[in-house]
Amino acid sequence: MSSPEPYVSSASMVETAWRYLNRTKSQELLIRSTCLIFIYLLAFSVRLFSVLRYESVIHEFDPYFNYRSTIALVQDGWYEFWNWFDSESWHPLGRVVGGTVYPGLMFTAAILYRISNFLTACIKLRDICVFTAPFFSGNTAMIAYLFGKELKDPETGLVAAALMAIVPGYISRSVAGSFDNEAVAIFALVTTFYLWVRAVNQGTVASAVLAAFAYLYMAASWGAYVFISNLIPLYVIVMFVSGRYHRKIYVAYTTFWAVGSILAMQVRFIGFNHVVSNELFAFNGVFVALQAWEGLVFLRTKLGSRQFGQLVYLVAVGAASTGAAAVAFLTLSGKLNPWTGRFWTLLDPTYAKKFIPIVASVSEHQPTTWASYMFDLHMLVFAGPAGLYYCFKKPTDGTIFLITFALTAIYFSGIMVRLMLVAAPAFVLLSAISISSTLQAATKELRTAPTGDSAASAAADASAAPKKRAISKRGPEEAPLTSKRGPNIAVLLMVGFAMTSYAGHCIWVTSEAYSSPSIVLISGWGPHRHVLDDFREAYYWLRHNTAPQSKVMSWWDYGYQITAMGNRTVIVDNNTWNNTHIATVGRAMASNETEAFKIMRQLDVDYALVIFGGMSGYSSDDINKFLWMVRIGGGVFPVVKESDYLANGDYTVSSKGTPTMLNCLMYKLCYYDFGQIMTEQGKGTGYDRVRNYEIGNKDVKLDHLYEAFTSEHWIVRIYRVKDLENRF
Amino acid sequence: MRFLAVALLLALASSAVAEDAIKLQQVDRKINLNSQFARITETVKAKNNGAKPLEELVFCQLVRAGAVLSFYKVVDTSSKAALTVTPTTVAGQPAGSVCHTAKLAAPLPAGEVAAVTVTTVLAKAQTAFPAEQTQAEQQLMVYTDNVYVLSPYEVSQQFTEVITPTGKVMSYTEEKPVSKSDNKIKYGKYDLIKPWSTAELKVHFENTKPFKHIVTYVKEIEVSHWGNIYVEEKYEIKNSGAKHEGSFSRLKYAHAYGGKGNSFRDLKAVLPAPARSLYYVDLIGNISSSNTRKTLSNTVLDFDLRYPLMGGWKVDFTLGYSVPLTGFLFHTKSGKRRLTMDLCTPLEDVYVEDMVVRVVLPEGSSGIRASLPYDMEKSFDTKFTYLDTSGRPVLVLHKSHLVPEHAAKFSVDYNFPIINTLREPCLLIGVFFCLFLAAIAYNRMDFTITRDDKWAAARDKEVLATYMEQIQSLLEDEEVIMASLAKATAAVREPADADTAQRERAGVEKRLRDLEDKVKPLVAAVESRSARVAGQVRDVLDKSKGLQARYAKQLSDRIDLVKKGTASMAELNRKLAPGQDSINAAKKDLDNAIATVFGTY
Repeated sequence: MSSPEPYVSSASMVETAWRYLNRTKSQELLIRSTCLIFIYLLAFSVRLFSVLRYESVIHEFDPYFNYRSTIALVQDGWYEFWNWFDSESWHPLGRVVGGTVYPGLMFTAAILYRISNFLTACIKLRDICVFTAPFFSGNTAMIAYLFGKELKDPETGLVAAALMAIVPGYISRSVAGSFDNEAVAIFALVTTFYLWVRAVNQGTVASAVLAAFAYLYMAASWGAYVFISNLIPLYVIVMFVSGRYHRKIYVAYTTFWAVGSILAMQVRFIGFNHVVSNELFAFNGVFVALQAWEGLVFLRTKLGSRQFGQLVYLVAVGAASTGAAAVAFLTLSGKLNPWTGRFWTLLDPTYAKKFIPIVASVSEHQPTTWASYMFDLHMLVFAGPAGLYYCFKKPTDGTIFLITFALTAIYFSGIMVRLMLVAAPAFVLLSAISISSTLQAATKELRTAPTGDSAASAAADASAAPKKRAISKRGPEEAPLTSKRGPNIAVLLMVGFAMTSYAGHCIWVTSEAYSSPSIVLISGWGPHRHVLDDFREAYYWLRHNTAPQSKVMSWWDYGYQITAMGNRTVIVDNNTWNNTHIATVGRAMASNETEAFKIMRQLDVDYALVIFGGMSGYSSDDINKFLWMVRIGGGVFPVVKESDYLANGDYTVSSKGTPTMLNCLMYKLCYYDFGQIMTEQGKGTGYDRVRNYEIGNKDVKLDHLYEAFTSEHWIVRIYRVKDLENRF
Repeated sequence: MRFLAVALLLALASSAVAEDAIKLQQVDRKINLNSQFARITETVKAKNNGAKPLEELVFCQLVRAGAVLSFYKVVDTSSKAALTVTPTTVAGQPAGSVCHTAKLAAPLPAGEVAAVTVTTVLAKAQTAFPAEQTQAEQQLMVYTDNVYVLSPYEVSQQFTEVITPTGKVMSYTEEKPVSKSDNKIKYGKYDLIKPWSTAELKVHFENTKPFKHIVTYVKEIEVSHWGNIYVEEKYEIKNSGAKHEGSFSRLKYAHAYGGKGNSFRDLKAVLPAPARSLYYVDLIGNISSSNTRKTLSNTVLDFDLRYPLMGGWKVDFTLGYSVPLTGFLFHTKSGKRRLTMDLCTPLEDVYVEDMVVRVVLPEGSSGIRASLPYDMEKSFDTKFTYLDTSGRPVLVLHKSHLVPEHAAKFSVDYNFPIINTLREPCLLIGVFFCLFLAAIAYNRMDFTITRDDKWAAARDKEVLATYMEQIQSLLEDEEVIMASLAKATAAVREPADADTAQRERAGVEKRLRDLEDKVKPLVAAVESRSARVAGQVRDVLDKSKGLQARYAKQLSDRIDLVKKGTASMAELNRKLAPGQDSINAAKKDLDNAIATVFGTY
């Protein structure tokens, strides 16, 4: 083929640009890219409420550990981090951080920090950590666009990106400052799913390898990687059962399994668990089954039917016996771990409540209420099921995956509030499909519909009719539905109204509910604004005015904060890897002072720290958490009995409280000196503003401890444990 | 050699003579203990009893172990001019004393009297006794000094007055004559005291003033010629009063009288008036307890520490603000830039044990020279920050033991060619340019490993798209040419215009023919790849031709009408309206056809 001489237009540069902009294709591209840029900016900036209202600070509990490890990673380097043994927590046991952490988040932040420094942008590490979550939310929105495009069309992608940018269920864990695993993990999750669907659609090794790398990122970031490695086999099974299995799935799955497993095993915390853990049984089992199936298919083409029948029989017997032998061997040799509590919790929502108080004590592990679906998803609660309808109506490989993903995610979100996070992307994608389908249908009808409502334009109706008949699969004897302008406009308006109220709701929820850093409490507005900064006050006091090797005993919730902000060794922290150790602290808090002193001496404790809200009205304080301490302590040490702390089944610290309750260490530490103070006008001394009654024992005397520090509003109280008294 | 030895001996003798020759007629000494420092003021009348004019005077001060002589100044009482002071050692001075030589403004003739005022500030001179105290107790301090003026000269007459913060004095040395009234203890007058006379003066008194002690203070001033000076100050502060002992009761602190002990929490910083973008933070975030007031000459920042500092407690924090260049950065006559800023801390009533001032000048500054109000250690450093390639030069100034009397301005002169401000924008432009270049290069490269059918099909499609694009732009050019024909048509108003129009028409037709020649090979190339698309393209080309013919017809019709002498414009337009309508319809048709056929490429 000889190529002709290329034609070069004689138009000027401006003219050429003008012509380019006038073309439909470039206009579409322009609108689409502008939309995406704005969606990215929206996803980023809607999460900045917390910075504007409060400050650029790390939030809550777990992020403080992540922040501290990121600092360690940046300062000491990869290898030191890999081998990091943290002696500042879980005294005297310590914690092998390098081997018990999902390092994806820290690596992400450290790499972002290195890059920004290399580009001489000089962003402080704390700011990098604070803004990691919003940054990744923008990325997630972009992936949602690609995912929607892969599932249906670019329009669906745009809707998905817009919904994803502001869905409250996701914002709850990704506002600026919430430097938690979930911040990057949701991005990794959606990316893995997108690349997996792409791999199934393309059926190439390269696309499956790409998906495996996304899986590595997920496995390195969050324990919920198990969700992916169970959902994908489940999807394969669903495809198999529904008779839609094809060779592309085989290629995608085999590649994904091989590369994904090897990559995930590089994460030190996962290691060989990826092969032997029961949680990943389906992942490995489906791989074996697929190989067997493809082997059989191959052999059937080579063998006669009689021989093939014999072979199938032999193989079936052989597989069953070797499988049973393997399971028996692995179980006996202890390679196959027993089912963990986490697994049972997911299958039986009431399991944790009955058997693992430490899991049940966490508020984000509670079952989800209907209200929180409405709160976290708003309109998507209705649009999601409609999306399911569209998916079932026209099933493709992609939409079947989406259905599988959505149904399992919805189930899990019902078990734990925390897993709402996983359900949010599923709802977003389903809703994107339903919304874009509705909008497309309505606008298409509007364009083809007669412009006037008179009957004169029957010709246009007639021309539009065959199309509609094809869509609406009605019998030829039924007259086609005439398309009218009014209903279509009504549909558009309704969708528009729903989207507007969704956006309004999302922004309201973000600004009101999800933007509090929880280490700074602000009440009031404008000149009446009152800041309670007690946590940092006390932690900073610890940092500067106690001996560097001091050990601090507190309930595990505050462990991460104390080590990160106070830079002091703690006995237990939010990692909760050793239930006995936590129970020992619970027992100390629940015992009387003399008993507690013995335990504290044994644990080498220098300071005891409690959170007390009775003065300021801060309700999530240690007295309200105390029953869990008793339960967890009692779970390991039967000396501690819950009934001793309940007065006729009532949990109270008023004068009706039991003597055990009114003399335990926790009570004394919280209410020391409190009996002499008037907190509210017209009430007696020692009036607790959280419990709303006067406390039972106002004359608290301490023998073995003394008050070392109490923050301005009494929220944090720190006591020094005295040395043994001289014997002579 | 011999001559030198003789000269040396003579010099020694003369100095010995000088000491005898000087007599301090009267010394009034005030020791002010109403703060964490000891501020000593001596008003001295010295008489030259010798024969020669006197050039120097020597003053000494007892400095107890642990205390630091931070500030020393000698002023001529009458002219208020500061005298040059150099540390010196004098034969016979007692251990633990510090002597300075003050050079008089003019030599003092024999028999004359000179009046000078000596100001000394001692830091850490007050020690807590008891060294530890509980929360409810008041802080007691001990100060020791010499009852007499420590001097190498004989003193004829002297007074010493000690001022304590409150009237509560536990004990004081009773060297007669002495009297105490309220918070003042007066010693003297003492007559005819020999040189180097000492007698311990010891006062044990209550001091409720806060002992604000800055352990380290690092101030960084970063100049940007884009219009801003950033100042960031890092503090480590400690309460160096009596140590807190035993429990800290929040109840007593908040509610009991005197429950705050010797603690302090509030600080006050006086910043330059145009200071803005203030921040007050520490390692773990904002400290939400500050208040800013603007006065005419200053910005006053009242702020609280994170927690009250009991005796011995410490905390750190960072204070930052920005000021504009105006008022701080000047041009000197020699063409240099001069930065003038406050040297010491903006905090009031603090003792700074160790101060480092880092002046970060823009990249490309040279010839850096500082003019300082007092001696400081100087060194240079480099700092890398936003968009730096070679690093910014940093002038590092260091000094220990500063007291409020050290507050002063300093300036730094440096050369800075203005072209250097463009360095960073150019860098950014360059980087983005390279980025786009890389993107263009990437798009033009083919990374396919296997050139299979799929690849070939994709490539064919791409080539087809380029031809289609070319044909589209050709069609657009045709439209422009036709528009010029329409314009020529509209211009025909009189028979005389006809020739011009005809010429224009001939030109247009020639150009259109050229385009037609050019489009043929393109269509052929499209044909070879997709016959279907080529058919569509031909359709469009036909439509374009039809439109051309309509334009041509409209022109000739108009010329005919004009030649016939159609009277008015309105008449002309009315007659030509059907032709115009058909042109519009054909044009719309063509545009739609182009949009459908070429829209996807």
